[in-house]
Amino acid sequence: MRCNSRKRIPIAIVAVGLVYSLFCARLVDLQIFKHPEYSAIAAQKNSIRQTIQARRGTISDRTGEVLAANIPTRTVAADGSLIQDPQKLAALAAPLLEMDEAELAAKLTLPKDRKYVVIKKGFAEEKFHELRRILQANKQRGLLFEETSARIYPNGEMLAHVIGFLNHDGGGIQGVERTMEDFLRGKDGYRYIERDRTGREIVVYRGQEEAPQNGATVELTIDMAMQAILEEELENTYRELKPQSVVAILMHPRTGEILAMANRPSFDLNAVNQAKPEQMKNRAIIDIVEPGSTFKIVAIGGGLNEGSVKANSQIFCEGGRYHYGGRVLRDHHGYGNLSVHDVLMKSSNIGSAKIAMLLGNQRFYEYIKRFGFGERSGVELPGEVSGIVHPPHRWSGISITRIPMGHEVAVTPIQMVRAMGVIANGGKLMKPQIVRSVKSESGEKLYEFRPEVTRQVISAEAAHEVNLALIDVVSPKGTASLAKVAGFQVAGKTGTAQRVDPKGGYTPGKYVVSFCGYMPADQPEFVGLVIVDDPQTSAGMNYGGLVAAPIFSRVGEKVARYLDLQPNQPLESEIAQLGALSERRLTP
Amino acid sequence: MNNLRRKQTTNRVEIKPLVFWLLAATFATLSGLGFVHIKNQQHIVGNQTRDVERQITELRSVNQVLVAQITKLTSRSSLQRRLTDGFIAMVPIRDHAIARLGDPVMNREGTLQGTASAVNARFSQ
Repeated sequence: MRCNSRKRIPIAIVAVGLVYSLFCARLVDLQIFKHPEYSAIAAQKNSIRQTIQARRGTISDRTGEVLAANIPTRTVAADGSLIQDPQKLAALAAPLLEMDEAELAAKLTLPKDRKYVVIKKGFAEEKFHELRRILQANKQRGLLFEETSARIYPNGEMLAHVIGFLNHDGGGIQGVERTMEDFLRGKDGYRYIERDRTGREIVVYRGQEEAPQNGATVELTIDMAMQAILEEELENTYRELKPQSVVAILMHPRTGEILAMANRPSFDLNAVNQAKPEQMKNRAIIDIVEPGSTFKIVAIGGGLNEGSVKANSQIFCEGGRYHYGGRVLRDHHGYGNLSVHDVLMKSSNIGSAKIAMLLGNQRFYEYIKRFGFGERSGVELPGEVSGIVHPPHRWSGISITRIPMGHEVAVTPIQMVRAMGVIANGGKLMKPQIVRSVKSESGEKLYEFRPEVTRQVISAEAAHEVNLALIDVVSPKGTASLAKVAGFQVAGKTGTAQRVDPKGGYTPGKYVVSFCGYMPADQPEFVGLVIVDDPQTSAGMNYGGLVAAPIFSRVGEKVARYLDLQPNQPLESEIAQLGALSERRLTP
Repeated sequence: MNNLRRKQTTNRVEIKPLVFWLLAATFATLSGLGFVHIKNQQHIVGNQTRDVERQITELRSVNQVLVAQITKLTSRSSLQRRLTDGFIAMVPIRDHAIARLGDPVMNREGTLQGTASAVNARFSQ
């Protein structure tokens, strides 16, 4: 007996020990050797990578006025595994979701394995709170509300083409929204979480996480006060003259900052779906037009810069009819000898052609390129085109007489305003820029505007001579007297070109009229361009000086008041008073 | 002999190991209970954290909605619309009511003699 018990006890101990050893070995195997494998399986089953959405950056003008902001919304989704009574859930949710109850009930009748079906996007935050309260009170589950955001544009139509808009995925597809996408988008964060069987997060098991980096704030060079002035004038013009389109740009000549840019027709950024493609075109950078006489500054600026002519050099203008290359080039009025100054002031086609001929094809072509035509300006807006400027070997025999008056070339409005900026800025061509700064959420400056001189096109002296002629253009002697602004000296040039027919040639009776100028002429604060495409006016009225110049004048007057520019020219009323005073003195 | 046998069958209570084991058991029990309690607390705090986070998120959302509404209501378009409707009005500032500051006056030493004076620079020219 004793012997048996002595044997059995060690056997039992060994057996129990073996069993425990086996358990221990298994435990070690599970906990240590297979730990990564089982952790991965567990993570796959319970752990979810939760994306924390970054907030898109805002866009503002140079004064901080918000142009594009975000509003939080929810994406409503249904989880089939949690829905118990689709009919009741639909009855509760349909009024707030603004959906048909039967349609919603059909959508909510899901198999248990369908855990994510999107019901509605862009659900308003205020309504979400109300709906959640109702669902909790009625103990209904199965609707998920994901945080998203919608873009809002407080000014609607104003500056629509510059700001741009987003696609359904929240990426910019037009305007600054597109070009500054990398800054505005930010970077989504993430967090690994685990949920219990009711779907609630178990906070203690939170895994690795990274905070989102919200998008940066983009500040534009646009001044909304000036933009509003421009928009109002363009709206009135578009309504009254019923043109195909109207484009206007205001730019600071010394820095290249775009202060305002407006187009008609336009569209509401908050209702992009209703806009037609024609309304969404930013014509300031993608439409090309024959510039007409505004282009004369190139030939005359080039001629003066090269020294081939001087301001007082006399050009014979052939009495208004110049036979060249088997064709006749005409002026509006027949002129004999005109100084170079007067060629620009009177807008003589023949005089301009002769100055370009003195330069020669190649040199003239080089000046066209130097003024920035035939190349993209580099403004931070998508879709800019370079225009059409053919090289001299593709010119016809009469091109040298037609290009100086703005025919046979196609330019964008921004190129035109930039070229006029050369005269206003002592011969320097500036890069137009529309982004003033980019600031991160913490206030760190990621980008800051710096004026960029593209090149010195003509000498300051040559620019000064052209400037003097352009001042006289906006005088009773010139073609754009209606562009004058009381109390200020305005310089500029009108343009009237026949409308190009898409099928080829020109459309008879249809014109593109423009005025491009700057003020105050001695120390310009802005360069402005107004282009009206096919205004519905009487036949004799279709000229840049009669249609576009008055628009510039009205804009200039309001902008001068806004900028508090000091008038340095006598007002007409003051001249009249002085006249009356001198008459009284002379009267015995 | 009897005494010896009785001695062998009597178990003496060993206070020292008893206390040791009792303490060990108590410690193990308390540790276990403490662990469970701490785990529970952790979950409770976790839930509270989640609730607070949710409240913060909701408050942020409400704030953003309000900021967006303020932005909309104070936007230039909105103000212009209300101006057109006559809901608000603008009073033009008369020229005589505008004070334009002239350049500050410097003395011979090149230091500031006087601050910018409120002169109407437009008419001083």
